[in-house]
Amino acid sequence: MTGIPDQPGNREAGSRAPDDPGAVQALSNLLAVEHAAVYASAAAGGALAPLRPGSESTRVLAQSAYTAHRELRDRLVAEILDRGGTAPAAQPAYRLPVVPTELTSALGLLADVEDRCAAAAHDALGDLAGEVRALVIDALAGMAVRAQQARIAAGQPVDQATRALPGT
Amino acid sequence: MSATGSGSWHQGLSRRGVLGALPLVATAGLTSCSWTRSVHDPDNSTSPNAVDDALRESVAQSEQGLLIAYDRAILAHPSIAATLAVLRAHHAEHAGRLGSPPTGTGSPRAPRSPAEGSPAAGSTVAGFTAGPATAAPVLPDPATDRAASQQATVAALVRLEQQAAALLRAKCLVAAAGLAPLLASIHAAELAHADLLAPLAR
Repeated sequence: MTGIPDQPGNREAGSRAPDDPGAVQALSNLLAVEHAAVYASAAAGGALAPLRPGSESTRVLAQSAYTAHRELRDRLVAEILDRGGTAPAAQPAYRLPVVPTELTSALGLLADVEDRCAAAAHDALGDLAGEVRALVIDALAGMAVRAQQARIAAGQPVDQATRALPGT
Repeated sequence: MSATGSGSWHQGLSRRGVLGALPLVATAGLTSCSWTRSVHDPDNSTSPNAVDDALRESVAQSEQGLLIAYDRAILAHPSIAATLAVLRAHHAEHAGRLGSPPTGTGSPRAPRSPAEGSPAAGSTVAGFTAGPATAAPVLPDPATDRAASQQATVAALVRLEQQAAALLRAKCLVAAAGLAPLLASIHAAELAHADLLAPLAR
């Protein structure tokens, strides 16, 4: 198992110079976190695979997180390649901040994943413009909503389940 | 283990461990190049700061409108006031971050009768007035059916949040690099508010 790379965007940017190094770096940093999010959301859903009573809504949450992060990952890879960059690859596995063994820990992992992704999306935004900025704006909103849903599903009170400024 | 991998996600990617260094780098180069290069016509004589100031002011107005809407909803519906107060506090923080300290004390103001409502601010049905940047919803009279009224009030708040978020998204797309992350974060918060409130409107 490996951890998430300490410097996810610190990779060679391909044989030719990227068209927009700042954007490629920002997208690569976000992609490195998204790779981990795909893994983690799959793990959260996998922990709930034996259909346990009351797990259906959490399974739906995990599934929607997995789908969203996979789609974002694929878009980020495409955007990086379009700019002449080299997309950082996923690690084979990641050490998870929360080990999902049942509903509560699965929800905790899902919320944690979305918070980390939201922070990465927030930090990437300043270096992005146009359509790819729109992509990340919408991604950040999805992360904020899913994190909140996971915390609400875990029974957290509204003041703890919500964030005034997601990603900050 | 990869060459770059070390520690767990928790350690290696503690929330700001990896990402914390980025904003400094990002903001340093932004004001000078990204804005004109990628978002606006370089020949535009309006400075990025002037554009961002206008964006801030516009979004701050929208936030003030939401604060008023929440104040009135809190006053009208004590059973959900605690939830609404949490979201109101978020909007107060948004306004503060935009350089527009929220008006009022954070507690609901005394209700104004429709006759006292400001005509300039739009409809004031049920004492519910939206700010200038948000459409004023028309709500039923709470005296007639409190439960239905509560649902309608929450539905109106959901619409206000969604409308505010849509405006924010458009503004974020033209904001300078230094402002865009804040606007995107507020946008996300408002869509999350709408998601939280939606079940209460049904």
